[in-house]
Amino acid sequence: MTHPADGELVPDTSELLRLPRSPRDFDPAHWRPSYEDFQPSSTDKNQAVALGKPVRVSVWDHEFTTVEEARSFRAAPALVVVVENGAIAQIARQQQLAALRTVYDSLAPPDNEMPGAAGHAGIEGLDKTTGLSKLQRRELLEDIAGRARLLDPGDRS
Amino acid sequence: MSCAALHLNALLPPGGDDRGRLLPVRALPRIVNSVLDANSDEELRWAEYLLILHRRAKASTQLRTVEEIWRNAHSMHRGLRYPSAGHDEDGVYHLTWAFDDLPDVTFAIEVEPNGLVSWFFRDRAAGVTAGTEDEGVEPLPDTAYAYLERFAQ
Repeated sequence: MTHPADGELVPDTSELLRLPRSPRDFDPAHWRPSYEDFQPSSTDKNQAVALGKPVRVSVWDHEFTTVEEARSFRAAPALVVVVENGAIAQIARQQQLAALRTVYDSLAPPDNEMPGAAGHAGIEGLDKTTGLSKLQRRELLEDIAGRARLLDPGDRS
Repeated sequence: MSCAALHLNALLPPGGDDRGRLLPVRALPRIVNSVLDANSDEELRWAEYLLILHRRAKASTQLRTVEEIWRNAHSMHRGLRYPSAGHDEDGVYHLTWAFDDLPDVTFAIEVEPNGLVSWFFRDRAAGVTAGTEDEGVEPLPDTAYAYLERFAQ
């Protein structure tokens, strides 16, 4: 399988795995993902500045990366949230947000040598540079989270 | 050991000089009672979590604010469901009400380390969005608390 290049668009047909960096201290019964699970962190913003790239919210293309492989990039056990890239593309079209898109995002050594590294990608267009207000950005993030689901904790594929 | 006694171990400080000594129970009778009266595993987990929060709040403006918000919200809306709770990697504390059985409705409160609060409400089905636009506020306004009624059982 050919590895995608940095900045190449992720196909709409791809399923994305998102591993939010901060696990919750308390999870109530029947909770579901919300906007905070897709919010760009300071690390995302700092990396963007350092690398001269747009701010990208880290995700994994399930075509290239298994759940187990994605989890192996985290030091601590991680929740996995799944969203179809087609849903993000649809929101971008409906809301006419050209900046909202998912692109492959090459990892730096040594992470780029790990199994599943080829599937690393990032959702762009979720930060301040889009020109959206704070409330509009949260609304957008919540619309994406509304299409997402929590992966069964036992799912390793 | 009874279930309640077992979970009262959460009262023990985490370590250091205080190891093995119970916190002054008089300081937190309501929380202790909620542990003793817990009717479900979730209720017990939440009561335990509040105990931990209470212990840490002594040295934290942020967590005192979180405690105050929960106390107010709980007294305004009896049967209020428990939120997801915790810090993000930037140190912001999140209280979020978002459930599978209410797929269109979300309410979230963010408390900055300095105690400033921002909030967000979204009802996708009704097309309603409300919340803090720019700088945080303190304290949380009544209009925000009112939205929590959607999460009272």
